[in-house]
Amino acid sequence: MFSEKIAESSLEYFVKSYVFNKSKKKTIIFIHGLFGTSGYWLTFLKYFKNFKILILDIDYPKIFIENPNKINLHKLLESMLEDYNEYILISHSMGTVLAQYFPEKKIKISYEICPIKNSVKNNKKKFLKEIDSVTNLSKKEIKNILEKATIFLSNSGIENKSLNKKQYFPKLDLFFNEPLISENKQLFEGSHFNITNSISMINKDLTIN
Amino acid sequence: MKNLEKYKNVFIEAFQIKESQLGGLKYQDVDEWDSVGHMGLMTELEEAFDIEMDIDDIIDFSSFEKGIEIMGKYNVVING
Repeated sequence: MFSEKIAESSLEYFVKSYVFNKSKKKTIIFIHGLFGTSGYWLTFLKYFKNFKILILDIDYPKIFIENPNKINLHKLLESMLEDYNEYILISHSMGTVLAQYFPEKKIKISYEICPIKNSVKNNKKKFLKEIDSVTNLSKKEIKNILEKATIFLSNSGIENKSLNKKQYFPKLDLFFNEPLISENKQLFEGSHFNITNSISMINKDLTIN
Repeated sequence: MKNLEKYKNVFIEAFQIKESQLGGLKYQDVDEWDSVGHMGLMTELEEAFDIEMDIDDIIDFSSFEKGIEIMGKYNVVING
């Protein structure tokens, strides 16, 4: 379990992980968004019964407070995943930004749901209200985390164009605008926080490939 | 240690609750048994009994008693 005593240079200080279906060969790693938790994926696991499942529980505020370059997130993740030869990433929202720090050579494909890297923020007040309704944090704390998240986002580097990835955008996203839809970008019925249909599309894609 | 005792201990340690709270305990009855707590509980049970649960069982594991029934599928007999 997570412990404050864990050294800040250790990945465990920022990320906990849960592994299920350990005997399966192919691995999927799930990366939740900023105000989410590992539990966000629980209802979606039924779509991925044939995979080894690694679910991360990420303490984003801690990552934001520690400069990700200072802690070398990439190296910490590389070390955590050294026993894995290849994996599929499924990430949501801020998780799609964190996905960029994963060792790319081992990524078979990266599925990004509601990626925010190049999106334009909409309805900031409504977004704040939405987050306020699903967390125990005060408005001040939420604003503080969002400010730090914006800095993290702007420092997160250039998007890797060579990575094999597919992006899924909700037809209606009240909070983020992504104007460009191309071959690897698909629309799904849903919203920024209702992503069930995108999971279903990813499941189909994995079945075909 | 008997399986029942081991099973109870996993719950008690995972959710920091008393043994008297276990009977009838359901998912989300206590703050600690939320979706994240569920992940931890499943991981701890797999480790304690050296089993690998199916995803359907992880999702169906909705109460202390339902868990006893599910553990039986993995030849883990839990009785008093």
